[in-house]
Amino acid sequence: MSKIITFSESAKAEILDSFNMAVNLETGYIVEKNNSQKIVLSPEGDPLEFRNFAGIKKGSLVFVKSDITSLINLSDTLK
Amino acid sequence: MAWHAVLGKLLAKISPKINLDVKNPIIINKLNVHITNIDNNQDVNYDPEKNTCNINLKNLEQNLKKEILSLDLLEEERILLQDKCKDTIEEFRSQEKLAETQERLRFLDKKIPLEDLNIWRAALYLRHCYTTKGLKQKVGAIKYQIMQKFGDKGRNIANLCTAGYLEEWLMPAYEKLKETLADEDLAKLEFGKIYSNLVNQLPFTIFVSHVMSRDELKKEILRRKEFGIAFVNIHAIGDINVLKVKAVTVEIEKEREHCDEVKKHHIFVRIYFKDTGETKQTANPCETPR
Repeated sequence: MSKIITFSESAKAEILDSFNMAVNLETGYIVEKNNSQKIVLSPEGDPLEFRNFAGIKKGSLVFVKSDITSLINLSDTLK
Repeated sequence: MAWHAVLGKLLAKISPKINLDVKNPIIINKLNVHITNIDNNQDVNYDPEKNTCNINLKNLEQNLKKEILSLDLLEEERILLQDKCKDTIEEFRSQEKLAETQERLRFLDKKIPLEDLNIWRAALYLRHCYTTKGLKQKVGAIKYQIMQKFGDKGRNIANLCTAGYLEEWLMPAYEKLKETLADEDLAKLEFGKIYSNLVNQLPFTIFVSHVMSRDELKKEILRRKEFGIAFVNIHAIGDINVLKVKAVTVEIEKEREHCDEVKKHHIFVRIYFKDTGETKQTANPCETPR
């Protein structure tokens, strides 16, 4: 399995902030810090809400959603 | 600076207290790393039993925080993942490695549309959670996610899988087709039609949900009668849903015009329709689904 660095719920906001992302407090969606209109999409093309944010991997930057089908897709890419 | 070196620098702060060669990249790369952001007085600690380095962002100096949460973290195939999602992936993977899951997936492969395969994989994991102590609390959320992503078909597959229709109806139906048609390609083709009808229409099955009213349940039962099938299986979980089924079946039994017989099994009810083209025998390819 690829090397996984884990984080707890408490660190979610800090992590997103470090990768130049923010949360639109009205909609709950993750947006780019410099462009609040630009909603971050999951690899499956779904707009990503803060509550459904699961993690980040490389491939420019891929923001993973926490639903079961996204996690199955991620699992299939892990060695 | 490579990410393992940043981690080594961070651990060097506590290295006099721990037995770890913080300058050895091989040792550092083998560490589990967990990141939190909580109120305590630690910025980093090391748990030798779990070989885990715990980093608390709350107490980390700004420049170290920047170095830890940098793009370098994602190099060398590292992934940043919430702890509970990692647990889900590990549970999913070990469930999928089980011989019985492998057998189900081998059966489904190339017999159903490719886009349905992941719905079944998710549904099999849902059922695993349903039957595994300690994972039951995940059931509601996973079922909702399957429905949200795949709509009615997702809901139908999740329900069919949980109720055992894969092993007790689809797999035997395919074996019967193979036997009858004596041609595997033809059997696959015919099976594809039966499968598609089953997962899209639920022709002989009703799964009662908490939002389904008694009137809606009765309408659904009578709609199945119009399909010309011999019976309908009604599955209900939870006291309220079971009471709903009881009330509607009593009503239908009393009316006498729609059904011959109502069989109340352990957790589901089967209503045999009157005056449909099928007989009980031919329309009953499966025995008692769970």
